Amino acid sequence: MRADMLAPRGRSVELALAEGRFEDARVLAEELRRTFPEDPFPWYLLATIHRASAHLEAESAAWDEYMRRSETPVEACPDVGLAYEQRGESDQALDRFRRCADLEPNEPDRLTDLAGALERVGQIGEARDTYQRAVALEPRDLWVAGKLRELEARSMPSVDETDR
Amino acid sequence: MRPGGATWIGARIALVLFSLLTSLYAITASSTFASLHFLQPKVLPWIGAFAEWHGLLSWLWLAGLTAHVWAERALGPTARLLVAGLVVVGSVWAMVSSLRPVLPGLADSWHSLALGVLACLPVVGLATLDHLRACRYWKGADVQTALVASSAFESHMLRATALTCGVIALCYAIVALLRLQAAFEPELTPAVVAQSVLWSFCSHATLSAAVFLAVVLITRVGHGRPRREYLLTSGAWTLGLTWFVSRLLGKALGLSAQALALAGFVLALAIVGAWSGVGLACSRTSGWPRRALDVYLGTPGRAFGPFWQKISSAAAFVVVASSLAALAAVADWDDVVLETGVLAMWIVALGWVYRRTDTAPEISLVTLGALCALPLVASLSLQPGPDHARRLARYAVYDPSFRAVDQFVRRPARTSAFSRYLRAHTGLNDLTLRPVAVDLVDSLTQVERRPPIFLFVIDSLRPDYLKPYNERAWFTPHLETFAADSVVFTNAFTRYGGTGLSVPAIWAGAALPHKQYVMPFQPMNALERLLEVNGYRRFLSLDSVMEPLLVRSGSVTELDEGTETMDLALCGTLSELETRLASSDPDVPVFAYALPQDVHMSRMSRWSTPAGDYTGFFAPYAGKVQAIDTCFGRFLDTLRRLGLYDQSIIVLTSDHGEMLGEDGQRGHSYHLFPPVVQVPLIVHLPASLRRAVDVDPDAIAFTTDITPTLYAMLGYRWSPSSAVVGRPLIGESAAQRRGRRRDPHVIAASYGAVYATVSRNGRRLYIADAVKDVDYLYERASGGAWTERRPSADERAVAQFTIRRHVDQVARVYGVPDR
Repeated sequence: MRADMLAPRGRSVELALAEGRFEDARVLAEELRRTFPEDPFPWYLLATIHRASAHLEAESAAWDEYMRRSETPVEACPDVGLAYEQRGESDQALDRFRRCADLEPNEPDRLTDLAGALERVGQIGEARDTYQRAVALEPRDLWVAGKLRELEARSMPSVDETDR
Repeated sequence: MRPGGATWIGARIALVLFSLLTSLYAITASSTFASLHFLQPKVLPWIGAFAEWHGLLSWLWLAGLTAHVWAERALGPTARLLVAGLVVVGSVWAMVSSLRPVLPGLADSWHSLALGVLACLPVVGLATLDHLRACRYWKGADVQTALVASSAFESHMLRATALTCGVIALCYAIVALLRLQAAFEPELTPAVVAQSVLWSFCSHATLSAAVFLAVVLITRVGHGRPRREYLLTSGAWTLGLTWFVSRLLGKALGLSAQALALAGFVLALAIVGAWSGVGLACSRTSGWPRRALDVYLGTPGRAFGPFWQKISSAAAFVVVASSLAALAAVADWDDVVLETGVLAMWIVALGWVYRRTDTAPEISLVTLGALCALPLVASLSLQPGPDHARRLARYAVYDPSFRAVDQFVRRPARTSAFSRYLRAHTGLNDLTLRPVAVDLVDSLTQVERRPPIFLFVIDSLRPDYLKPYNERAWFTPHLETFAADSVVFTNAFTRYGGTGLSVPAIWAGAALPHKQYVMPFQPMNALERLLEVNGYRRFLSLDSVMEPLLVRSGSVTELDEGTETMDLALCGTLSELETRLASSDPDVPVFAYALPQDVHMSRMSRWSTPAGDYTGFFAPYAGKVQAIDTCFGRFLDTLRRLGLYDQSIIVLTSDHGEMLGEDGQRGHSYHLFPPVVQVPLIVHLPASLRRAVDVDPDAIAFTTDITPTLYAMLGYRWSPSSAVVGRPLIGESAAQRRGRRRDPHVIAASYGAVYATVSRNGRRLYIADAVKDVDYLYERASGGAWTERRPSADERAVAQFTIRRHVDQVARVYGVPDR
């Protein structure tokens, strides 16, 4: 029902976004946010617009607002952590990745994201444990197992700007 | 032939059936999907034969029609005119059909729809003659004196509808219990089943109360005026059937709303006209109707008979209902057979009860009201919670009447804005779109290394029937060997459910506009251009989808020439290919493509149950997969013998999966359920390449990634012209791999407004079905089992946003105007 109310108005935001008119999309999404103050979806739109227009600070703030309001905040994962990470705020990023993993403790992606963040801030022991939990959840996934092996083998990498 | 006699009825049914089949064929042809993928490939051979022999059959029909109506000229000048009109129109039709067969040439256009409407007119003409005959009698006074009092009729009707509801609900509950014996349904404990049966009775009672109230309304409005009552009754039948037929056609054919309304109305009018015409003619022999409903259901006055007769009649209902459900389980098209069977059972049961319940005492108005109000109030006030609704949905899989009635009673149709959006952007056949070049690389020039390429797209092949994907699939040993020195992409999905868009998208290596098809297709065909530029000799088994889209040139050799698409079999194709390869020039690189139909559901009637232990599998399907495996193994041996195996790229995949009885469904249609969207994808790389490339076989992969991967294997650097292009599955950077796993991906059905997002590296599937206006969310555990749960409002909003962004993106790339 709510999606039906939002959809016609959100449509103009989406069209602006599709055409690369990010400022127009942002203005329209802000208007939507004011009209539906309790609704998390306008924040999702804003976060997406900010990501597309590379406004990392606004993006991470929008994801936080989305997570605060949404009944399924995990929809903001892993983008919320990635946004903070790209801003260079490793602690904030780690906090968001942890939160995402807590929201879905049985989702291998959440654990892999957290393990990667832990690895990047040098918390190797916890990273290894987290990878091991992910491997236990998805034992047939060679990539996750490979990440664990890589962790053992190589030194800590720097944050990859293209890790999106 | 005396109207109402057995011969007359037989002849009438034959004449009407011919017209209705012709009409249905033409209406079906007006749907792009059904025309291209059902009629043209002759999925059901008897339908193809009907179209081809239609010219000759038309003459037989004309002869029967003339004999049938000739005597009706005695009814007066109007009847004479009508008879002359029917014979003249029939003669013209027969001549035209003989000179140039009309049905086989029908395409997806409004002409087909118009022909479908016109084909119903003879039925309406026959019905008009029947009514002219009846009118002569209805002008007499006997009808008035024969009428029964409204109060007595209403009591009769209440008993009839209530008893029908009981008979049908009980009959289908027994069918459900029988079917549950062979099913694994841990949630459906005896207590849950008992509770579900009660819900079923409640839903059936609600529907019967609604039917009863409609009849009461008609009898009150038409009180004392037989013709008005008859018109209202016929109008109600027509409206009801229009809704039913439009709904069925809408689900199965995906026509526009206007086309559905027109087709539904005309078919309903023809059916009601034929039915009432026969009813009126029979009334003359069995006693004139006392109420209008007698024309449709027969004249009351019979008895139920002794106990054994009642029991045997009830048993007959169970057997017929069970047989219809079994038939629908093996050969149905979006529940058309199932729901038509349920409606037929309802009508037959109502008629059976109606003719036997007119003698009991009258029921007071207060009792009538209370009996109707009770189920209506109950169904309005009782709404199942989410868990209960899920269990009811499981039970409904086995009780088709409950499924149909519950949809009617509890889930009134609603059209969300999102569904409207999806429908507006789907099936864009009314739009003229110019082809947009799909480029995967900056500059496409010939490369030095041109290995042989074999692309086998086995229509409807499921991964879980192959040993590389399922340890228990013991019947595919050759594929297991093949997989051992190939890359098995364990997490592959089709980009489109249904062959119509899936296979062209594989060739394009990109998502396509939802149109069948943008012509010429060549600029969008990235794979064909790759082969052309590199001078490949192409061995193509041309199916009905790709045949019009591919360019014929001197370098193309057709395999399976003269074979109908539905008869394309991998063994035959590979035998011919083996011979061709043995004599081909070793200096010219070769490419082969086939879309064999061995395991397509349309061939199910030809399958037999093989010997061997196929426990846990659908044995007839598994048997065909085993046959495929054997032929494929033989083909690989030939490649080894020719020295081609180690240097070849061999891709084995499918265009979509198949429902093999999950939730009582078979086939693929426009479904995007997990068994339909998951596909096998096994890629054999040349030995030199195998050591050099980096692959993530457990990352999500799509059929549209195949062509970009072929480009990459030939050494091209991927540089796509748009964001809707697939991505190579080899040589991706770490960031690209992470993106592949993290990003949500959108897939669509070829034949209907059904879209889905696949996210979390293929572990979550959100399906938005705008045909039925429902959505589903599935999640996959690490063992591979999918479970369904209700999406939250936020999950739905995000998934729908992802779908809209993708649809918008495709629209922008291909120049589709916003709709």
